Amino acid sequence: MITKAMKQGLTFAVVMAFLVGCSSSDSKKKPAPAPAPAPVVEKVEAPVVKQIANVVYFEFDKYDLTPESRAVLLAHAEKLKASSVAVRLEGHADERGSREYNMALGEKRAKAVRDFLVLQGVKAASLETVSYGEERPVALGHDEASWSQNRRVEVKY
Amino acid sequence: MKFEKLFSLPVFLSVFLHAALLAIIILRFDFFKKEPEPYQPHFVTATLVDLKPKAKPAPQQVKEQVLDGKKDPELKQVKQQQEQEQQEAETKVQEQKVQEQKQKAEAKARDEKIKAEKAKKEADDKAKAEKQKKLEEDQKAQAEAEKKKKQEKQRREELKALEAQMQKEEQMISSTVDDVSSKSYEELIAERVRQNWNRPPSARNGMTAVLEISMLPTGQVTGVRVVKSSGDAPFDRAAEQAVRRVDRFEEVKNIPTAIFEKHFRQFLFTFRPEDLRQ
Amino acid sequence: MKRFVLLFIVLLTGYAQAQLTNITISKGVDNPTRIAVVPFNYSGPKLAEDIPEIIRNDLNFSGQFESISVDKMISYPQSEAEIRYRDWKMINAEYLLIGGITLQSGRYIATYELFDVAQQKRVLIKNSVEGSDAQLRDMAHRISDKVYETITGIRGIFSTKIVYVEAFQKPAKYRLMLSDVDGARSRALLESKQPILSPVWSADGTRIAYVSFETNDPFIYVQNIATGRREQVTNFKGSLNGAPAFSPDGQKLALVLSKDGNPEIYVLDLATRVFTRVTNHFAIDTEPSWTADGSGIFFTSDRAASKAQIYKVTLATGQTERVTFDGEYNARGRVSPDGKSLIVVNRREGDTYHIAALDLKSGNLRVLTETNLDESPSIAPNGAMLMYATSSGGKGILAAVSLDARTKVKLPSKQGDVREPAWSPFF
Repeated sequence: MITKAMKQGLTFAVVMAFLVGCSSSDSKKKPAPAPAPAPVVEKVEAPVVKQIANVVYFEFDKYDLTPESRAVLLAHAEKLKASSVAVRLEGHADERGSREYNMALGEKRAKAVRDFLVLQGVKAASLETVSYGEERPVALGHDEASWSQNRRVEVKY
Repeated sequence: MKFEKLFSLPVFLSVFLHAALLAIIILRFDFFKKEPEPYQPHFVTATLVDLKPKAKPAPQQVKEQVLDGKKDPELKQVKQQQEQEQQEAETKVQEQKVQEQKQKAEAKARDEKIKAEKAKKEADDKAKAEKQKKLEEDQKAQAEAEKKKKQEKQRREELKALEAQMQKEEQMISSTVDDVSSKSYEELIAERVRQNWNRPPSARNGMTAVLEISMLPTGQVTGVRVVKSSGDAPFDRAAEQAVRRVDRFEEVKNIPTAIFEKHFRQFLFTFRPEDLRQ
Repeated sequence: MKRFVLLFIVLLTGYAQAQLTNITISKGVDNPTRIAVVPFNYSGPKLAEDIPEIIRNDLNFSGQFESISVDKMISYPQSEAEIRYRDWKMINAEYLLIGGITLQSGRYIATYELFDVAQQKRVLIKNSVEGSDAQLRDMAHRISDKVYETITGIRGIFSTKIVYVEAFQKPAKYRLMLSDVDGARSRALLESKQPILSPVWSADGTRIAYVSFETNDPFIYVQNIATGRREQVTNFKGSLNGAPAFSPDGQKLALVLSKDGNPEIYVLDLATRVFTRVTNHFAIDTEPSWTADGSGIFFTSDRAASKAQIYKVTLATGQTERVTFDGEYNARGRVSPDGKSLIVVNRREGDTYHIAALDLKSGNLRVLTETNLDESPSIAPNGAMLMYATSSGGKGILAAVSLDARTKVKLPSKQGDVREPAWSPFF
């Protein structure tokens, strides 16, 4: 007799296998299948918001979204559409360059995220954007390893 | 003061030049003059003439025509004439003979006289010749000595000049010509000042200050005076201080007097930065 | 034969000696001016401040001077008669400062005289400055100013002040600090758990403006230094409120708002509280700073192929022109007091960020700093130096460099990360 647990486990296994397969393939591949199982997992286990990354990263001096970012944001979009929760999008930049220019850059990043979410159907009113420029880094080193972590937008619920 | 200084320089050079030319002229004369020939005595070139009395032709032998005087009285007359003539001839011959002897004696005497004179002359001449020879030898010796002396002197001078040149070449980049050597001293002086020139923050490229420096042959700076201000007091002051801080240019004491007087007793120093970033 | 040639040439050139030899130099070594500040003559209870020592440090800070330490001095003259110039020549002193302090009915009087060692003559007649016990440092700075100005011809900045931000991590704390230019007598003007940035002085030195996140959002505040009273002058939520800059006449504040969609420059009339938009471009426009006469505003924009460069807008006509062309990145332009140079944060391809000076006439850009990740330059009111933020040993520190880049100084580091220096005007 196949128990409910066994069913869960099988589904989970299938999903994980599928996810693994997805992550090792060409990044251009539509990641749509990946998020799809996620809600399933959530439904089965206790909903864990933290499993979605709350941060998306950017390339140096850029504010366009990478495919990875989009993936994460799509997840957020679904969540936000489902519940009318307000989020604050906090844009950041790495320490290089002047502070006020980095404030503007952080804002561009935050706004890029906001625009994407709005495009996904999230209500604009529930999205707040702010930029901290380079003022609140998460990594304090003076190298690309740290800088890459600081070029980000945080999704704060 | 300055005028006098300037005036003395050409005069000094002029005198120097003339002296040198004179020296060269003398030298030249010595070089090209021929060796004086030994004095030749002037002999009397006379050939001894033997005064041979002209011997009358031997009386003609009257052909004796033995004529018989018997024949003619003319013949006798003739014979008498002949005998008279013969006697006359004999007397004549006799006279001639005497004359000859006389002449001979005279000639002999003359000969001897001449011979004596000749001998005397020869002796005289010889003595004279010897004297001359000695004189010449003396002169020759003297000339040679002088020549040698001059040669020595010249050699010494050449050596000195060579040494001086080598010294200069060691110190400088090029030849012994006046202007080039002074340029090299200029560079040494400039470098010392450069090492002490702190441009003030107000200094800008193109600013120009000209100072007049007075210096002693020891290189000691005795006077610094701004003759052309840059318009910026700290800039002028920094220029003045650069020179004053050197205080004594060590290399200057090696400068030959002529060059020092000409170029460095009093000279100008221009400060014009070109490497400043503003 | 050689003598012949020699003489011949001498002949040729010998006559042209009416002019003096003229030697020209165009380079120097530019060593700092060595000055000996002799311990001042004083007999009395120990003073709270060592005035000659403050003077020595001030002059060193300028980068133009090198103060000779007391233990190198051979004698300690207290009057002109006691000066033996040989003693000072021996230690290569160029200038000599002697002085004395007396106390008269509760007031301190410091007198000082300056001498030129090389020329062995007096440079300054006996000057005096007076003050209370609490003003001993100010008196010392005044003497430094006078000495500096006498020797360089440029007004001294030793009596000016700086405002800067000090940041701490874990827990995050930010402080807006005010101190003497040498870092002494520092006090906090504002403390916050949230970031503070972009402090600037008004031209009369009475007020500062800055950006503070203390309400969770960035807004611009104007604060009176003396009274500490302040007011919030912008309140645009969801927008950038940043980069304030006082106009030269102190009546207006240029700033950045993105309320209309993207960061643009606005001018706020402090009296009427009316905002006037100055730029109108979809690109980032930020970091405004005024021209010396207040007729134009320099700002940073990435309108040109998304590369940050500096532009200038003429306020009357709205005409905008690009100002920087050298390098991949030029931002944070501030004009020098003489109006001739624009100080920027510059990055050339393959290099890191440096402070550079742009000659506004020729367009020539000179990089001034060699430290890494340099930012936030602030020019001294005498135009001879600028202060900026950089990092050293993983910490943020302040450094100073002369406008001709010859002298570089690092300021003593504080406890936290120090950044964003703002140099006050002359008071």
